[in-house]
Amino acid sequence: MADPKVAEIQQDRYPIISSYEMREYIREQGEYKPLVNVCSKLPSLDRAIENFHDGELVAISGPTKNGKTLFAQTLTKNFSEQQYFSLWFSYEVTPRGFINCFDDKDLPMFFMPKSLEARNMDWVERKILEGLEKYNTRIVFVDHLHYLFDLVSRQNVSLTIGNVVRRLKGIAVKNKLIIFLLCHTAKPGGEGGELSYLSIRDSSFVAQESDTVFMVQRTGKEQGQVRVEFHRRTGCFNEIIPIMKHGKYFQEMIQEVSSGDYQESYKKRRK
Amino acid sequence: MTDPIIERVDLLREQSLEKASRMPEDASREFMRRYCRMMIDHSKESMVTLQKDLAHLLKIRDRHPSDMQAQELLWFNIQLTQDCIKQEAEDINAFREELKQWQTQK
Repeated sequence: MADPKVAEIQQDRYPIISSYEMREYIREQGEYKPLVNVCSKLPSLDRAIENFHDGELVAISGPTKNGKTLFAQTLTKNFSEQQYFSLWFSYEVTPRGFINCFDDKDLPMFFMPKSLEARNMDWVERKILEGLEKYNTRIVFVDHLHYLFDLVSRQNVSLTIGNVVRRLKGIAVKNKLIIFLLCHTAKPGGEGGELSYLSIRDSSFVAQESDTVFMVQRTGKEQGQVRVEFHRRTGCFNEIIPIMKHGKYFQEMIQEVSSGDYQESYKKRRK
Repeated sequence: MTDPIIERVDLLREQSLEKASRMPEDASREFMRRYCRMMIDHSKESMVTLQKDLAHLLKIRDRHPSDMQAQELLWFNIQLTQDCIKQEAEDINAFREELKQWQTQK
């Protein structure tokens, strides 16, 4: 009589296979095309990260009042123009204030819960799935991370954040979504202060679990920058995109460069 | 010297005349209020239906990513549905303004 453990291994749906078998399996499935492939409409950013794809968790960080939400709203509007509508969890701003932040004459289409429940990750997951089922919302914005768990009762905030971020990443991969997670920085950077993904408040897990981290920072009146701290898929690292506020949204600031500078910058980018 | 009974009769007659003359205006105002409220409700219902329609179109789009002809048709349909939703929202706003005007008039 055969060993039941051996029989169990033989019937396993996910057996261990060789790299050659795996390559054949991947080839059989055909070329991978992302279900969601949207651009930010900030040309340098799109060049650097080669658009946003489903299954990605994107962290947007930066000091308070430096334009994180505005950057996210700009993305929402630009995604809406490409007929990808977002689901918003705007904990920081009231629904009235949030809607007023957009251009009243040309309000982009997006979806949001009528009212929000804070410190309840199960509820957030349920609403994400509801949005997907009802309105096919494959892009989710959460403003911001610290509203997703109870700061007071938790003993180890860092581990809790790690758990929440990992769960969000899981939801993004499983349901083919893009999740944008806004989070504060630990240091009050202000204008021009040095910040990196290591400055994200309370936990290094945010940077570890995210596919990319953007750092939004003001550099002057109505001007700022988005720094791509890293991007897992493209390998982009420390790319700075200057932005400026135009009307109610951000747009890329086009810098005039001489041809020599441009070639240098192009070469650097290609490397 | 006038008779107080005749004075009272005159006063009552004037009041009833005034009330009678106001009646068509009141009826018209009430009708307009109800009309605006009804139109707002209809627009809201229509908006919900259009949003459902939009969701279906988006699902179809994601189901057939390689069919370019279908994608083009869907793009215009999604755009059209979006425009309709925006138009409904504008209609609601316009009717709400109108209702406000009718409500302030006494």
